[in-house]
Amino acid sequence: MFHRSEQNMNTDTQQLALDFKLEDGIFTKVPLEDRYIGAQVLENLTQGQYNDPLHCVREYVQNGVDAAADNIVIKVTGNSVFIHDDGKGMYLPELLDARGLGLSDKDEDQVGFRGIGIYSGYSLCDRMFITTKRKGSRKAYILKADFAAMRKHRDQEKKAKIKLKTSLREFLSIYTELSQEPAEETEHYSLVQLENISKLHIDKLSDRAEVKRYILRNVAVDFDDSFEHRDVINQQLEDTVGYHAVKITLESDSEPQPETVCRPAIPNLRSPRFDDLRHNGKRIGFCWSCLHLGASIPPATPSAGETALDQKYKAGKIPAEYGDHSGFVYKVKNFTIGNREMLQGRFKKHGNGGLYWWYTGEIFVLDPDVRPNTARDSFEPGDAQRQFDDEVSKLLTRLEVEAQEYREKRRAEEIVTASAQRLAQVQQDVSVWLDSKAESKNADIDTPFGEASETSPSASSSLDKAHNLDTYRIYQSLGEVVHDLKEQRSKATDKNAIKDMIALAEDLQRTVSTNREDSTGQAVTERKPKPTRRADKPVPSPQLPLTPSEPEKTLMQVFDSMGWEVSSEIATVLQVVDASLKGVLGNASPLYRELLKDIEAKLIWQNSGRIA
Amino acid sequence: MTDFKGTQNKRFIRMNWDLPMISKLSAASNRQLSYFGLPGPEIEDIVDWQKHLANCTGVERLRKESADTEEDLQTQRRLMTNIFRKRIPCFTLMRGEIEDIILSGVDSDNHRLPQSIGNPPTFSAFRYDLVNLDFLGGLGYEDREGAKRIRAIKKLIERQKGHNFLLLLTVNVRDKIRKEIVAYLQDKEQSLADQNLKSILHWYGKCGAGMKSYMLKAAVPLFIRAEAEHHNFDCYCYPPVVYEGTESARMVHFVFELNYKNGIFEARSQQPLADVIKTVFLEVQQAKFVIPQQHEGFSLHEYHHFVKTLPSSLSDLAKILPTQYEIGASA
Repeated sequence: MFHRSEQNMNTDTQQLALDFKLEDGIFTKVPLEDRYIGAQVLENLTQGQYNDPLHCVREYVQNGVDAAADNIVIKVTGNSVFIHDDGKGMYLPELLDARGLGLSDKDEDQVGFRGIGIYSGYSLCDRMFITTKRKGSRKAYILKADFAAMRKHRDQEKKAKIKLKTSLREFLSIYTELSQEPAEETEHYSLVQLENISKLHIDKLSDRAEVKRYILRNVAVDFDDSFEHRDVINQQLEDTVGYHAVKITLESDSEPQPETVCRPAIPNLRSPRFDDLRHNGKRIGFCWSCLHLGASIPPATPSAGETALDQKYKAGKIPAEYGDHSGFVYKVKNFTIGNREMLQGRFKKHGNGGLYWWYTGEIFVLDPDVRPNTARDSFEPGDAQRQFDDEVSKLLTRLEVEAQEYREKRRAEEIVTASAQRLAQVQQDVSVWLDSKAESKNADIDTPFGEASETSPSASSSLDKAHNLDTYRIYQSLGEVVHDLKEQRSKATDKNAIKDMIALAEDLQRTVSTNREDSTGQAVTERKPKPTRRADKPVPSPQLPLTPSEPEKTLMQVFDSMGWEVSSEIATVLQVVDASLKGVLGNASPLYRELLKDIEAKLIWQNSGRIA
Repeated sequence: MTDFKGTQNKRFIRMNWDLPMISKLSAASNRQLSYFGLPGPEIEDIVDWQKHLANCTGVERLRKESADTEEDLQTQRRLMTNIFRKRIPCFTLMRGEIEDIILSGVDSDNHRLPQSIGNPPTFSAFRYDLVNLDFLGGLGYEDREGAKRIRAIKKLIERQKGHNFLLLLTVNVRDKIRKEIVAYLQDKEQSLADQNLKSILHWYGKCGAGMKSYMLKAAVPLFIRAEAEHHNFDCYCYPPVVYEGTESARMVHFVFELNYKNGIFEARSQQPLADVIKTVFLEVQQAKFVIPQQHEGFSLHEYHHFVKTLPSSLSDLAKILPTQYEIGASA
């Protein structure tokens, strides 16, 4: 570094040893002069962290949050970016301190604690101005940093071979300046101007959608005012973690109309749940979460032309339009670490982690020993981090179980409701059918089943109604209803109602079975056996599956047992397919069972492939 | 524009003369207005008219010499600081000379005006409701193509074609185109048939060195009206107002209402030309309207008629306008 001749080096060595009073075998403290810390430190610290202009702007926004601002405006105009906050502002000593590196006096619970904040714009812009005003002061103070000149100076230094490089202290002294101007005593704010940014970066910062997405993921943005649980969550966060939500407004020349960024009001969320994460009694984290309940359970009476199963099943997963807010994310105070996808793998008890997206929530790190890494996409490894990670896993497992229980209960309720609707419809159809049969009896009509009569219109219409009731399908349908109700009985809320419905369904089955007609149009129960003759073969008794034998599993059960999580829409499809298969192949037919076994075998194969 | 503080007189005009007209336009349009102009670092006009403004495009110069550049950058920084301090939303800063921006359609950063439509920017149309041009340096000097500011005003009216707007124009009496103004007034005089009007214009054209404001009072409305009609605007000229601004600069303030008229030929303004020529020349002294010396043949009776017939939306204005001459006052 300091190129001197061998002789000079020897002389200097001896002199320094005398100056420092070095003694053999004894360690002596030797002060470090400014010249030993070069300006390159600034480049090394900022390089790689703030390549993305959004990261850079974020740092200044975070300063506003740390200053207890309620409102922050990010404005892109011309070739500059302005970040204005209505926080408390800085006194002159604080502004002077802000020039320092690695000396942040922020509490460790404030996120900008790495102390390089104001130099975030070093690579992004030519100059930075910070204008700050503290309430009660009659002056606003302005700090100017000439980053372009700094970079030019450094470039020249890099080319120099012998010259002594500028120390960091001297570097910052040369290229930062202070000024003041009169101001209103009552005002308080800070305004950062990043001047002369490249067009490429200006365009990126003017991309409203991208900036909004970034802000929502990386800054303590408040909820929309209409969010049902806003107050209770904000209060809890303020009390527990000192979280301070802020409103951020975006403005740019390309979209002059300002837009306030806030977290959306996701509808149909269960009341928030708050969990402490503890290790050995010490609180190391805090979590709030809301389970998405989905759309309301379909009404008992479907709207015209619609059945419960026709209605879209919206339960569970948070709708796609709020997808950026589903799942969980780590927060270190106001700051997001990583993304929402990184915790999905913790939901593994019940399949492929789909239930994870039924939640929205945040996990706040309270243990100061759990530190974000430099890129803020994960944590620095260590014992504290591992302990924290364990507690997070336990919590998410509990939440997964809760979601699964809710899902099963909800499915049960929906199936029960759908079954009730089916049952009501069948009951009505059977009633009409029985009435029409009674009418046709009175009209003394004896026509084969399926043939039109030449009698009166009323008798004809009675026959038509009798004609239209597919007793076999009705019987099958009732069987499915009974099956579904029995299956969901343990999970549903109103068990008595289910019991009653089962009884009604079975009763209707008996009614249909008893009153159905054979191909001659005669009621099976009324048919009198023909007199037998010796040569006649005995008439076989009718093959009536009074109580269909249950297959070992249904199609839905096959998927469930394989651990496949099936969305509501797919569940509906599977039910329809299953009903068709049973209808065509026969409920208990060997072919139906063979088909289910084949499907099961293929799923096993599929699962083994996925696990591998 | 160089940095300067608004004076008491200027503020008075802004609040008591301009603001009622701006309010009238906003009410008639049933919305807030878009502003284009030279607000200066203290953005006093924007702050005073904020209630009626939806969005603002402000221009600040950016000179090339490094010392000047730094001064201009600091001015821009102060302007933006005030924008945030005063919570002015939807403000766009354009950098460069406003004449160049109007003529080219883009600023020195090659950004186009937010309220400009059409491509390329050179041919774009402007859609501003309120244009406030404060030319501290007067109407400028003549160059090879004519005075740039005059060209810019013509271009502005052309670009605004199709869109009604209020034009506020303030010029310093100091400029280098006196000869051209005199020649213009002489031409106009020649074109008139009415002897009375001819003699009035003759009077204005003969105004001596200390009465430059009178020449501007006569010439500028005629010029704006002609340009406006050429681009199918019906132009209403309010009485010009003279006042003493910063550093004792004599400034003349004009307000024009330009309403676009569809048609294949030039528009004809409803306001008679005679009214424009004969209109009173008002003055603001110590935050008060006075009637200074007027042209020969000035009729106080016609002035009273003008005040009485102000629309109801400007009734507040009528209350503060003077009724008599200020003896000895001179514009």
